[in-house]
Amino acid sequence: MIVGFVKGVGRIGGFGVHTFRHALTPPIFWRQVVEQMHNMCFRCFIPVAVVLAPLGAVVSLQGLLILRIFGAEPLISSLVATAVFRELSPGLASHMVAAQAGSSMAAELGTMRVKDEIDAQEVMAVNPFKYLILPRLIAGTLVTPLLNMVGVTMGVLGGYAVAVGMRGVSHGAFMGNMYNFLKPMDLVQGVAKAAVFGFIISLISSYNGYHVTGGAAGVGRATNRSVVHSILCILAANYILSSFFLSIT
Amino acid sequence: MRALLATVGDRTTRFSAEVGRMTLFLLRALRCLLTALPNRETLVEQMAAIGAGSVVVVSCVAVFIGMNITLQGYYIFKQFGGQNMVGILVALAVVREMSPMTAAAMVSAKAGTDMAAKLGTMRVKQQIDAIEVMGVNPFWLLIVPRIVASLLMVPLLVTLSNFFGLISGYLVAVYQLNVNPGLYVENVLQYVRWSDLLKGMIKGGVLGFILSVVSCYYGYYASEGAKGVGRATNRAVVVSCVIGVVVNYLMTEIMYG
Amino acid sequence: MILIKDLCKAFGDHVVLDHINCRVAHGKTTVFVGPSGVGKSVLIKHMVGLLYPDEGEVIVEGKDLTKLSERELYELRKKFGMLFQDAALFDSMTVEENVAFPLRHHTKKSESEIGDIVAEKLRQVGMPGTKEMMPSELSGGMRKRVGLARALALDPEIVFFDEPTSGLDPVIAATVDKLISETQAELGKTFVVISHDIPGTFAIAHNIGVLFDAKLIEYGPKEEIRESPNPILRQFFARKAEGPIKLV
Repeated sequence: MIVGFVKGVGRIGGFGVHTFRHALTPPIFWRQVVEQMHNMCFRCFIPVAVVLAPLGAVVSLQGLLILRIFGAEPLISSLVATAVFRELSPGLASHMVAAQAGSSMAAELGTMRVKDEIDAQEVMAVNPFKYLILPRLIAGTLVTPLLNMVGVTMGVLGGYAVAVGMRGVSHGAFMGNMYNFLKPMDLVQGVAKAAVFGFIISLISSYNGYHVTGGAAGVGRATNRSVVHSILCILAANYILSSFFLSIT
Repeated sequence: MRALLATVGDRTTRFSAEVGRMTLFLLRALRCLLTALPNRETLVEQMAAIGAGSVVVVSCVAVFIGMNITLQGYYIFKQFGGQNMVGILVALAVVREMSPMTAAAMVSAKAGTDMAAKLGTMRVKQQIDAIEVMGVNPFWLLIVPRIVASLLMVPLLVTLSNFFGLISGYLVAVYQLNVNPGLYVENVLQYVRWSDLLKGMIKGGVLGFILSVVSCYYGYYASEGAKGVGRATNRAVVVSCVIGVVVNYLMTEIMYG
Repeated sequence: MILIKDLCKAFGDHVVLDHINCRVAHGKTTVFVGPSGVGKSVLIKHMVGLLYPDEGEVIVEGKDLTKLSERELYELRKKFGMLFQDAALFDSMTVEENVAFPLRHHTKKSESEIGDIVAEKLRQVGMPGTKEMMPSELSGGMRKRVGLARALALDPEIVFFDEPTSGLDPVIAATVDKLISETQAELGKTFVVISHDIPGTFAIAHNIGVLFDAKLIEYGPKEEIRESPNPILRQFFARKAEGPIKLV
């Protein structure tokens, strides 16, 4: 199983490198990039927003209980902001992107593969890597950080609603402490993580979709696999990135 | 402007219709659940599929997230000198929130999509109609067993997640961050109560119930063709997540508020 | 038998069935024909309770389907058998398990009894010895035969066929028609078929109903329908592109 895993990583890596080589030579189909970005934003905006708000609320709720042990309740906004900016938003926004956009990418490319549309493109001398894959990779890398911004806003709002709206923390204390401990690096960290996660999702989903075999059932399998594998890779990358960012601050 | 309002109105109508249909689906499932024991064959098969199918994924996720919580928690606690007590944060975060949510999320991503895909394919191939016309209740045969299996297996996966999350947290705390091992263990044992563990399992059960109902719903009502099935599996995961997160917040309020 | 009274059904603005009235005779084969998408499928789904009318009544074997509880409907369905368009066999089960499905769920017969009945039904439809095969290994025609065996498993009073010969080449279609005729003659039960296969219809039907523009424009014995001067029927049966039936 480990050997299979390593082989898989190698193949996906090769796929990614191959796509990059195509990024260096014209033409780049910017129209496709914009279309993919538009699709992603549209499809993922509401899920990301609706998921992050309750999570921010939960962090706030549980965080207050934990901080009470240390008598440090006013620090709640720091806890919420740090948790949301560094971990929850990049993580959950990517989870929703994987589930919504990643599965769509795998399904679309997979269906095209099964219906021979990708072969048809090659015969018409349109390079599918330039036309189909690269735009999706670019879109994934650019849009996920944007969605992360949305997630961050909703997460902090959720936390605020619970702490200030329901648990009596003062507005001043909340806002004051949040900016105390929030460093510019945290924002960078969030964006960087989101970009990396978006890239991983697009790469894995495109790869699985592009290599579909076995008809409609194969497309279904590829779609499911993409979501699960994306999530696992994101978690591994998240740990590495977190360690990195924490060691340099 | 009028076009925008029209879209909003249209969307709202469709959304309400969807909510209504899902509620009726839920009621029919509950009625079936409460009046007859679900089909035993399907139940056992589903329990194995959910359990065995999700064990590896849930464990991996628990390990990674446990490590991250420890890492981030350490630096946050450092702000007020409490970094050696990070065990408290890890223990409570993992047991109360992380395990139920991630166990349910992973089951939804894997088993939930399978439920939606299988039922969706059966719907599209008229097999569900065939079952109905042969005088067998498809809810009894296919749907309720999946719901019950989910209800039973997710709490077990929550416990598994607790185990791996706390252990990976220990490894990171002690070997990467140089937290006193004895202190970590003491913190965990002191602050995690049996009631926390139980509440976590209850949360898991509720979330498992939600994800299975939503996934089966989208599969049952899948529209024509392969595209319809694909859309069903997509919706199953996303809507399970959204409803799950909101319900989780409500449960946290009730249990700890 | 089946009595349809003033049946009306619309999907949104689209009226599919408009005051349909007919009486499906007991012990005979009745075929409903009509252009594609006219509502034949919708009509047959009403007869088995998969759809409910907006207005009107559907009375089967003396029971009004619209007034039955869920349990009563399931009970009544034990008297039905239905062959779906692509047989709707369960992919994860063998041929034997498919045909035995209604037996295992509705009877308390022993495994050996069930095995005998399954073998008998498969023999009846011309598919002996296929017990262990999976549906994916069967051709379209073979799947339909197994589907028919499953539909006949409980010795139903009424057997429904949803376009039994669609998607089959003419020779296999003819064998399916022959199977339907012979089985009906042998069992003497009520057969209800929907089809747009004209030669097949005339081969198997005792009575024919013609659906056009959401209405049942003709209904009667085969010979009457064949001789009918109605221009719509003339165009449909003669398979002509010109006439009152327009391509929408």
